[in-house]
Amino acid sequence: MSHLEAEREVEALPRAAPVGRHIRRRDHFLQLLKEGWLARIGVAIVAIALFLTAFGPYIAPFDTIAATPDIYESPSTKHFFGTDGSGFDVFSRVIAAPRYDVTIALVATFLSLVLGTILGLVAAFFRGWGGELIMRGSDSVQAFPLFVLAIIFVIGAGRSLTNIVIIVALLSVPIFVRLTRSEVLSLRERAFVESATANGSSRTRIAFRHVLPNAMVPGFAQASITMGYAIIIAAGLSFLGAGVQPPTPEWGTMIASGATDIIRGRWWVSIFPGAAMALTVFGFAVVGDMIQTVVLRRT
Amino acid sequence: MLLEVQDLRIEYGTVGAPNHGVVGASFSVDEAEIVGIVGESGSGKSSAMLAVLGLTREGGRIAGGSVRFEGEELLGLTRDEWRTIRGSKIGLVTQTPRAALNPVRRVGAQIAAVYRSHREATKAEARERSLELMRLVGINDPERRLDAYPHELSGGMAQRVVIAIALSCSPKLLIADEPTSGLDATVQAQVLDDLRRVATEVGSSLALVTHDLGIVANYCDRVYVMESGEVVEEADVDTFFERPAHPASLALLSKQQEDIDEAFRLRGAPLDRMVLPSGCFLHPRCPFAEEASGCMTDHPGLYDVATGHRSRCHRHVAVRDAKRSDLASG
Repeated sequence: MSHLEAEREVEALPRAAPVGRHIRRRDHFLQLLKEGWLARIGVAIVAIALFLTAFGPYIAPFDTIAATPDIYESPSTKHFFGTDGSGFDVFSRVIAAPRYDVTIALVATFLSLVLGTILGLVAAFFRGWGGELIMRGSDSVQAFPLFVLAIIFVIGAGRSLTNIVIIVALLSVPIFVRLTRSEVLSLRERAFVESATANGSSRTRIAFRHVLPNAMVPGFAQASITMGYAIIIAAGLSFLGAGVQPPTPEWGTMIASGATDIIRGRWWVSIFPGAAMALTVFGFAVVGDMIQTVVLRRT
Repeated sequence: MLLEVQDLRIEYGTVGAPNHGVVGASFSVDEAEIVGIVGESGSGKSSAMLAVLGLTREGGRIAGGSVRFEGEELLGLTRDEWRTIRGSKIGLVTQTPRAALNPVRRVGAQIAAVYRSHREATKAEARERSLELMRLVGINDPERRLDAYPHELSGGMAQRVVIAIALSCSPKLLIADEPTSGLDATVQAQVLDDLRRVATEVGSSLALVTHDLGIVANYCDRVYVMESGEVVEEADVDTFFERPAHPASLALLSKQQEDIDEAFRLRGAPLDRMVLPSGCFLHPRCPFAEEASGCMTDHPGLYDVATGHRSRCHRHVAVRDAKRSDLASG
């Protein structure tokens, strides 16, 4: 009797696993695309942005920092996006720019994700003065206007690419701290944490082996959204002259260099890099949103 | 005695005005014994058993008493010392098996991790041990289940995994806190059968917290009844079912046995234990309470009713006879 019952239970197992609740890792991407046309556009934009980050400078039809004889030429079949006052081909520069903007954002986002997640975990798990310090510190960062803080830092520390990455990363840390902390605060009350304690696991082990893996998913969704913000901050710094320097092909400097041309009717110098940046930020935001949707449905 | 708990007190909330979760509970578990701890919800039975592992729920603290395990006092151990007891010498099986497992780790790895945290073992040895344990607790096709995630298992399977984890280091004592409350009746019986079988095979004693007297009748040797944070009756199982000598026991039995008059049930819900009533904690709800016996004024101690049978009731004789006469008349 008892054996029979056990057999039946085993047979019922595959069906008992709720459909759609468990998504294997390799299915995540496909799941994302099934979200509809918006998700597909988002994924396409992100894919193109990443492709250009890797290969943009190589596939650009013109040298990105060598002047052509054509100055202020409007968009044509030769220069798709026209040329600027120095005779630079705008199209070539627009597709070469992700090499700087997206790379800065990627590295900065990765750093802030790692740092923010660990700090959030520590703040929530080991409450006390250490946790307080982390939270008040991240509050302080958030209390400043982003750009003001970024400019002060870059001016103080020097205008290098490394410093730009560092400041963009630091500015993005607080959101990951809060996100992870709130996740961990609820996770640490879950039964499996109590069980782990009852089985003799140390607090550090529980924090990193049991709680952390369960707390990381919202961070990944946020990372995609933060990518967009990071691009804006990086480009914004360059626009204000505190970031990447011209004539490096970079969206912020390109927008800045063409800003004064717009009123003379030479709209293409600023508009194209601006649109490219806006589109990229939009793409990352959509993807982040979709990751969140898929993840929420799973749990 | 394997486990001896004396005058255990657990308080919840503020220090100045605590809620008395457990007020001086004493119980013991002998080697190779299956002991049932029963009581209505909120009687303090789970709190008391968790305290044996040095744990309390959020906001609680162990305020006093003694927990001796293999003759060694446990209360007052440091955090690191506790870790050598938990999961190694005393195992815990909780009531919600699926929630007790980490959702993002494979169950085999979870068993192996607990084993490796207490015993020197290579990864391969730990995996072998996991397999062996899964087979032991009655999981079919353990090779395949080893790499399953908790949500891929049925409730009964998940509970067996939790039991396997608790047993991984062959603890001397296994505490099972309502191990089958979330399972179907048929699965419940299988899991309990398996639990008893493996506890015997491993040589563990079993402390079974439950509110299901059917489980007590079928599986336990001895039983403690808890009420208002105290142990109010202690008896071997046969005595408990034939001659219960405490109103709380009678009330529990009345919910399952139709031959006990409804008049013996307790009135109302368990009291908020911020302020404990004078006399017997149960007197506001007890159908047997009477002024003359001191129920309202004197807090009863544990009376010896017979050898190994004790009751915390001034009127234990009347209570015991109440059921007997009831049976006789019925």
